[in-house]
Amino acid sequence: MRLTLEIWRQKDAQDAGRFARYDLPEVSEHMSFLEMLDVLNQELIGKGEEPVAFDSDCREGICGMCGFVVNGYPHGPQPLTTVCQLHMRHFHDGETLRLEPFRAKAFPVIKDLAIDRSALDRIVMAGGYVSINAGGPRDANSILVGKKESDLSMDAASCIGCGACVAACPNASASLFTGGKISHLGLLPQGEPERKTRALNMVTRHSDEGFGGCTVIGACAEACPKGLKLDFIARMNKDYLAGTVTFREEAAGGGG
Amino acid sequence: MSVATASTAAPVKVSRLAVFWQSQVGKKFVSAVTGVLLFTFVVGHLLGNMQAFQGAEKFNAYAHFLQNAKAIVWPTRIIMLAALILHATAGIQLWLRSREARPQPYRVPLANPATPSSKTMIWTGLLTLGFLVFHLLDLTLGAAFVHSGFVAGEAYQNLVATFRNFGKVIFYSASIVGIGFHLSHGLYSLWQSLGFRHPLWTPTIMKVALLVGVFLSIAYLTIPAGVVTGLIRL
Ligand code: HEM
Ligand code: SF4
Ligand code: FES
Repeated sequence: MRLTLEIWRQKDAQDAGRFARYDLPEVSEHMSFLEMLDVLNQELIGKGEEPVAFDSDCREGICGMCGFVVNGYPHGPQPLTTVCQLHMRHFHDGETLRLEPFRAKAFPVIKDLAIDRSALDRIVMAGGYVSINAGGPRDANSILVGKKESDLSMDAASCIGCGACVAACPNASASLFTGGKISHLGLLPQGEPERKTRALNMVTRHSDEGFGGCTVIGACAEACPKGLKLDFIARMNKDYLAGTVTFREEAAGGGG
Repeated sequence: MSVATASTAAPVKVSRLAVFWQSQVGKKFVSAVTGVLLFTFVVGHLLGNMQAFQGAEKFNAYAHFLQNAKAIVWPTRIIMLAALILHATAGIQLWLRSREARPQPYRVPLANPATPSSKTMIWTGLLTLGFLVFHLLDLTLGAAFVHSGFVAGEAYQNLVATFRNFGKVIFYSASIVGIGFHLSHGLYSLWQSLGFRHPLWTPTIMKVALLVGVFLSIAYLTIPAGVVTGLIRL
């Protein structure tokens, strides 16, 4: 099929950026979206032009490296699908597709469609861990985990950190990501001791990184390729509020 | 065991209230609690105002009762003013921060599920703020440049005079519809701000919030409509 791509080209973070048009007369419907861009890039390289920069790694929807906006949809219009798993059969002959990077102050453009998402890593560093005693291996199943809690925790843990929630949010908020990380640990017994300080630290980091606040629109949950729900944001708020009230300054010399 | 580092402990030395107010989750909590307070006032004020349909005597007696019940009226005024200042400050700051969070707009507008009311919270809020100032000048204080024929103590007569002015009918009505919009999203989102979301209750809350917003608008609109149609007259 024949497609026209209008791709955002931007040399670096300082460059103003603009759309460039590319005609692709023969796109196979069996290609993935990124394979189509690979073909385009080979062509551009052949012509001595600069290839389009975009991120990817696993190309099987699990690493969270890929992601840009296709016609107003982060990761493209197919629900629950990363752009690396999006196949060209979902588009039709003669269509024009506009590709833009995820836009947020906290996600500076590196080049073209590639953005710097390390702000999300710093939110995880602020509290996305559990402190446990190292030592001999424990018996399996020595800590009991309820079925519902474990299912919910797994739902939250399926977040791949792609940033589509931020891209979709009219406030450029990373609340769904942060709520997911807070919930996936906080729902389990292993994460319970640090549940409230985790929420305090991660929410504070989230603000400091320059993300916006949640106004309960729900665009994030619609865009999320892993189907995370707004429930995790409510849980983040609850843990944060409880943490604010009950937080105790640590006694000098106390271990983590 | 890992040793607590600066990043694992919540900020020390800074007051916990300051940290709370600095965070978006904290500001939303304040917005929710003050929003509920303001909402109760909106409902109470409506119940009082409905007495306009019972004639001048009843309505003026109610107004006199309020003017003399200083022990009820002043604490209410102070709490509402404080709630309003906190609510408006939180709302405006959150809005400004969200704008800053995306300095480069999308060139192709994003498809998103925002409802008309959720998109316009800041505008319906600012409209409400402007309306409140005007309304107080008009019917509580009777400032001459807003309400030329104002007579202190004659609440019913003042009300009728206000709604005989076409411009005021339009402005009051638009503001009331604005408050209805504001509440149809606010009465839903506040639960999220308080940390409550539930697969059974949340969809119901959304519907009820919309209904309450629409109902309150219509109920308040009956007052200017009553004057215009002559149901409320001198
Ligand atoms: C009659 C007076 C008012 C009532 C009853 C009211 C009620 C509410 C409620 C219940 C919420 C939801 C809070 C939450 O989601 O946590 C809200 C949000 C909001 N209000 Fe008001 N409000 C009033 C006046 C105002 C005023 C004067 C402003 C001034 C600018 C304002 C601006 C906002 C904004 C911007 C939000 C959204 C906050 C956010 O989601 O970030 N409101 N309001
Ligand atoms: S919550 Fe969903 S959209 Fe957001 S980073 Fe995680 S996987 Fe991506
Ligand atoms: S490249 Fe790994 S999720 Fe798309």
